[in-house]
Amino acid sequence: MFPKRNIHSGTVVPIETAATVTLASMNAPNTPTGNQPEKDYYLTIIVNGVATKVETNPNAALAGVIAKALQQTNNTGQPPDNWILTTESGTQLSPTAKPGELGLHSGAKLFLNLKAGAGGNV
Amino acid sequence: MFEPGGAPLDTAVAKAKYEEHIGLYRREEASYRARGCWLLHAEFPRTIFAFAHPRLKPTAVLFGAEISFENFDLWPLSVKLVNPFTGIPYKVTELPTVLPRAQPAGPPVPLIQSAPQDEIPFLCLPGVREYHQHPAHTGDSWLLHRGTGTGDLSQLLNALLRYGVEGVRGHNFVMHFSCTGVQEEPLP
Repeated sequence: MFPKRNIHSGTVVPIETAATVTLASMNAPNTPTGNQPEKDYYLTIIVNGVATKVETNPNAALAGVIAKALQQTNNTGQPPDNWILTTESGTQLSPTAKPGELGLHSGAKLFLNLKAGAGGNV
Repeated sequence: MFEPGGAPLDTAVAKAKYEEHIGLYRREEASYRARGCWLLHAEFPRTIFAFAHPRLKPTAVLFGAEISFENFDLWPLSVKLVNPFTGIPYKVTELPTVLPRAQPAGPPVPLIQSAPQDEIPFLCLPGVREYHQHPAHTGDSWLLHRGTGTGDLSQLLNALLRYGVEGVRGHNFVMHFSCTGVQEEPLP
């Protein structure tokens, strides 16, 4: 197999790799936040103190992020409805809200904590 | 079940759990601090946090909380509101807040409770030792919650922040005026 020179970097890469990169770049979907591919958009979710990176789409509802974050941190003992998603400052976010609409940039940190159970009765 | 000296967990295990939870807190310490939660003291098994309101002017330290990891997580964490300056638990009459929680209908429910015979009130939530050891909650065993995230340090700190700090809207002023007579100007 003949190698092909990458005209931008000057490095030598095999032809298959160069072709794959080109096709992948052509097929990469654009997002409303610019030309950033969706696969590069992620949120950092702190689940009961444990951080996990959740890849998502700025136009997808946060409910999917909550489900993924719980799965990735093995927090499967409680239904997603029992969790509250908040910003770093403590503002509660609706699971139906979309990160793009909220202006959350890729890598933004959110907190997912269990709701306090029914209490206050003795 | 949660009596001191009863069915204790291996201290090394409890200490490892303590260090894990304090480590998780430390990783997000800047975020907690910005919301008004400060770790004042951490020496196994005892921790003391102060809760301040970051947006009030002048800034106010609202209350402290002692969280004990004794025998955690065979036992749930123990949570008591304390004076953040002395570390002494508040008595019912000294409480700066009862952590009011709004209900869909009816008046708010205080999350800080005490039985008439108890001098020291406690945080009445599933996942808290004092809740599970109370006679009213014998049907809701800690072992049903253990390992589900309920009663984790992070969850309890968030509950204290939500109901003890984030609902505060401003200082409460009380002014008293009393009339002691009339102002006179001696005339010639």
